Amino acid sequence: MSGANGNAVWETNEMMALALSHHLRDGEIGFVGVGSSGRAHELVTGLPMMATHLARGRGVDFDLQIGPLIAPDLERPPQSWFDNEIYGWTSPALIPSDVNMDGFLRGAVSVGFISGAQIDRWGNVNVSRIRGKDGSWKRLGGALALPEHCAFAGRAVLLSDLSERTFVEEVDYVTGFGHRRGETTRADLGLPGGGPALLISDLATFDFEGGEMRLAALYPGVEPAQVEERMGFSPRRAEDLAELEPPTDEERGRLASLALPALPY
Amino acid sequence: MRSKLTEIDAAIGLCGSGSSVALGGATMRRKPMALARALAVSDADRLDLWTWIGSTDVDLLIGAGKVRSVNSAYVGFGAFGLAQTSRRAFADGSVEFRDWSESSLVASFRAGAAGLPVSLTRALAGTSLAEEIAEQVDLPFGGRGLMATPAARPDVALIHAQSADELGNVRRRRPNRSDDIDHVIAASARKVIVSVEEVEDTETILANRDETLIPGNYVSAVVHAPEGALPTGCDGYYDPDLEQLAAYAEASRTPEGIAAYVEDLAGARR
Repeated sequence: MSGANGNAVWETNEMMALALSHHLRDGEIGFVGVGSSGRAHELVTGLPMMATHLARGRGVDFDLQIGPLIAPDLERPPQSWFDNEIYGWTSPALIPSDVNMDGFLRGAVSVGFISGAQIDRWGNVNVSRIRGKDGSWKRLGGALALPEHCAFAGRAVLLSDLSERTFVEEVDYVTGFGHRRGETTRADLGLPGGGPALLISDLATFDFEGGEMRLAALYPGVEPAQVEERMGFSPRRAEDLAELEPPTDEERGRLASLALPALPY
Repeated sequence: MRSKLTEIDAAIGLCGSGSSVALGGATMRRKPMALARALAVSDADRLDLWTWIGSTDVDLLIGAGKVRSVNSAYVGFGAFGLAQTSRRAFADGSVEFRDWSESSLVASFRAGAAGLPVSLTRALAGTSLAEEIAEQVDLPFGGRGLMATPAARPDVALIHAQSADELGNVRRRRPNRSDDIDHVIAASARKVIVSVEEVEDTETILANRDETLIPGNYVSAVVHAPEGALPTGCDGYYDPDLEQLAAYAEASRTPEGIAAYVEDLAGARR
């Protein structure tokens, strides 16, 4: 998908990566998982790599880990997204997976990148089970490390295309805790991480001011109504709702130089 | 010392009906598939499975009607999509799924390995997962509001490795591209069955001691099973077999398909 505003034309993944790149800070570590498939894989694995590459182009020293693979060399990406290739990626360390989990728990991850089959107003995320209209449950894959992203990362960044099915008033099942459920807050639960801080969608970005999802910035040429009609609830709007700049030719060139493998589907 | 080299069906006989069985590997890597196939056509049933990240191993055993419950952080085929036999068993309630997160399940295996009955986690606070597997506890030393979860203490662990000697010393050789917790799972289990691509001389193990992942005194049986992780991969030997995975995914799409697949397995072993 793409959008247009006068002469400014943008491609969805480029725009999402650009928006994300401005939220990556010097000295931070981002955690990317590889357990998802299809579009979700592109969102939580591909886009953080693109955003990291852009941020580094601006001199921001942001580093990634991919599961237990520490500091993969983005200049030398793997040939495919199968895990035997991913975990063979040029990097200084592949740490044991249990030790890798410890890092999450002690707060060594600055930013976690996640997506969800359902996301609600308070940033609660469901990747586990969906309740059908007849009340029956349908199982997805499972939690993997999503609860850890939400509980322990300095902040979690949600990456999702807008749809009424995904953006729901209340998730059917809480795989990862956001900011609030009923009267229960993160502080009540003693969750050490920051929780969802940002949501990058295909038309706009959102923040979680006061813990509640809020439309924060639109991609070039997008109207707020276009965003809201693709959500199952009406988000608040920031008073200073911004319109982001499209990628420059230089930024697009830098993204094009990142030779990520094609998706296997 | 006595050799632990064992024929596969004799080794699988350690998994009795109603026992808890842990499976090593993760998603598309070094799943103990030869052992799982032998278990799928064995007499054992009502198994309680424990695996960190499950895939074709869990799905096949469910398809064979062997499973009472599954404890895992995931059951699926990664980039290859969802595990359909498991999804049907969840939907019809024939198998109980207890869903964990990755770190809480690591903690559970570690607690089992340390002889403790419970493990502690903060990862599940506020989640729906906690409603099934965790209880809030107030502990001293800053431990208010932690959640207690049951320790994993499986009766038998099934691990597929690159190589071991006949005494059961498991060697993790380069290249190592693994995202698994096999060493923790092995330590948590009462008995460990290891299948290997190659059985090596003990002299080779001694000369490469830094690569020993699981010591032989943890291991009850060693099974020589070349290509024993297929259709998942085994580093240094083979990658995941895309054709076999596609065939499995197709078979598991319907109850009839997976039933025929299991019947073929049994037939091939007669």
